[in-house]
Amino acid sequence: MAWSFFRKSFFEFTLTSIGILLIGSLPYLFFNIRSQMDVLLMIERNELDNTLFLHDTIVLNFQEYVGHIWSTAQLLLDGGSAVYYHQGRYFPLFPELFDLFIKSMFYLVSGLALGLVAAVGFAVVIMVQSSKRRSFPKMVVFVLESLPDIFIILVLQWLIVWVYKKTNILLFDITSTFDGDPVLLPILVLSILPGIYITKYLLVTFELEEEQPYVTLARSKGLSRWRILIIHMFRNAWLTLFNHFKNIFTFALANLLMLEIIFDIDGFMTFLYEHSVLNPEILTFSLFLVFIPFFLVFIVIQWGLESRFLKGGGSHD
Amino acid sequence: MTNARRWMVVIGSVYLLILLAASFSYTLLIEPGQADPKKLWLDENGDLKAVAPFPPSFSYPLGSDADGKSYFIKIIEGAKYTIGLSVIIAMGRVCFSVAGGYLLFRLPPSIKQWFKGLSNALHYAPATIFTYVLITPVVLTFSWSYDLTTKIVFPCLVIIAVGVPVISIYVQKEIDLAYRHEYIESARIMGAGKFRIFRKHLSPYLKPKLAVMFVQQIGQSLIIFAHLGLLSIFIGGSDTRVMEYDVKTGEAVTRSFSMSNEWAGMISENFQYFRPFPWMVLAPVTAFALTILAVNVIAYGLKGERPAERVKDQGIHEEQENASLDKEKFRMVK
Repeated sequence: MAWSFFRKSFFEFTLTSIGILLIGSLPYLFFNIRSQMDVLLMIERNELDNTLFLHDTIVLNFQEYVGHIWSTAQLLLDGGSAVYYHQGRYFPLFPELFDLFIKSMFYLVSGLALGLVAAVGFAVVIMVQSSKRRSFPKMVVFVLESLPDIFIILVLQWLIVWVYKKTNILLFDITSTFDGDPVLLPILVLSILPGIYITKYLLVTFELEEEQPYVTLARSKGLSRWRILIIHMFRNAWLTLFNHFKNIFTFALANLLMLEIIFDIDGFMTFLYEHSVLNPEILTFSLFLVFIPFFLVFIVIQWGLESRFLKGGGSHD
Repeated sequence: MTNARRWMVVIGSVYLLILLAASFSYTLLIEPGQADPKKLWLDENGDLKAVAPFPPSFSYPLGSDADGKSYFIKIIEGAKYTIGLSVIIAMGRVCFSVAGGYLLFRLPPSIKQWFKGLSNALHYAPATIFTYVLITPVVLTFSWSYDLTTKIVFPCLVIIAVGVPVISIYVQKEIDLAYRHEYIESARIMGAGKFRIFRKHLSPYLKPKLAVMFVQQIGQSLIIFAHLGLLSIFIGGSDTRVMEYDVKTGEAVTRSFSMSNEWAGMISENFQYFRPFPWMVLAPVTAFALTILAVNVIAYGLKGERPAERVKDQGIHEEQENASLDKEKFRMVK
């Protein structure tokens, strides 16, 4: 089993890497980046002040596309020499990108962890109620889950300013200053929406588990609600939760982007936002930076879960 | 329960319909007769009460912009563009995904595996970034070289395309599930061709699911619009002007102006004024939030009409010994 698991993971790793390369170079497929960049350089050096005569269309530039995929792959293998273009000049990509990555991932991981802990707490508290009393918290979860992330982030920020104006108490730092970036509030904000999603998935899973015969049996034997929930249902819920975690992770990344822009944090996502249009390589590099560590974590967790739950050679396909 | 769900569909739809009707009737009937908005707000004695932008108040429920135009009216006016565009994009996504899903279903499993592996790459950055990287060259960075049609059609196609791979895989899974039903097997034994099975057996099974998916995709595209608005990209015509030059770096400070009162455009136009005049951003964002809520309420109501499929189809997973360990649960890192 170990061997087949390893082979499968390696296969998936390779495929996703190819996918990242294919996506990262897409701008070269649709636009004549080289000639456009030349024009942009001329504009920024004030050699050109009239662009009315220039016209271009969307193209399908397969040769450039394949060429760029190839050069990006080579650049990946010796990442140290990568540069990026910004306002007519070139800057080295590393270690700047790497530092920003660490900073943003600190926010992301702590936000997700906080969200997970809070969500497990909420879900358990909701589940020990009778099913009648669950409907109100479930409705709250549904409404919160339906609101877009930028609404929640902006409203929170506005509320903090409002409280500060009324009472002169600054609950949290809301923006980057010379003292550094805000820490507490972004983590808190980042934990809210993933937390709500996790709560929802946990509730759905728990309610499905509740109909299973083993729960009825356990209850008929006189085990307490808490015990059944925390010990017996929980281990089954982990699997489902883990399954949804990739979606939650993508969702949290989108939250991170909005958060960094609204809170004016100079982070990984804002760097990607500012520079990846002129330098599509940055998108590829960033995707790999996110993909490799989190893929490894996923694999390790999956390996742990499978060896624990699928003893005796249960197939996982 | 079913009744409650039906009410949810009704409430959500009524909200959307009223918004759209108000939007159209405002532009067609009321606006031509309207006087220009006033920048100064005078009370009965002709004394100056406030200078635009006005904060939210009784006569300006969501505040006003710098010209003194009420945000409430601007939002009503812009609703038809934002909602209309998201409906078009959702429709495009669903159509392409049904085609893609059926194609994937017909392809041999090894290619399916390949496709899934490749599209996994989309999970490691927000969809907004992919959209942004592909749209910005056309509408902002190299905006000098593309004409207006390209500037409107290409972004829509990109937003549609970003969603298609993931939804196609979902559709393909649903078709897989449908094909395990006995009645499809029977139809095939009785000599039904692929097209007949698709038309007579598959499409009635898929239709309600696709309806839910369509509504959900409207919500998804609204979220992408809101995000792109914050990244100063908005579809439906934008106009970039250089406002001033940064003292230190000599960098041109540009501002984009929305040509219609489209909501995403309103977010990006006013984001820099969020601190002094929060309602300028909160008004369009709230409009987005309410509309997305309404759309999700409809989707939730539609979904609930039928009991959950997974639980009912226990037979499908009979090869598994443990009922709680079905293969769905190991889809994650395959």
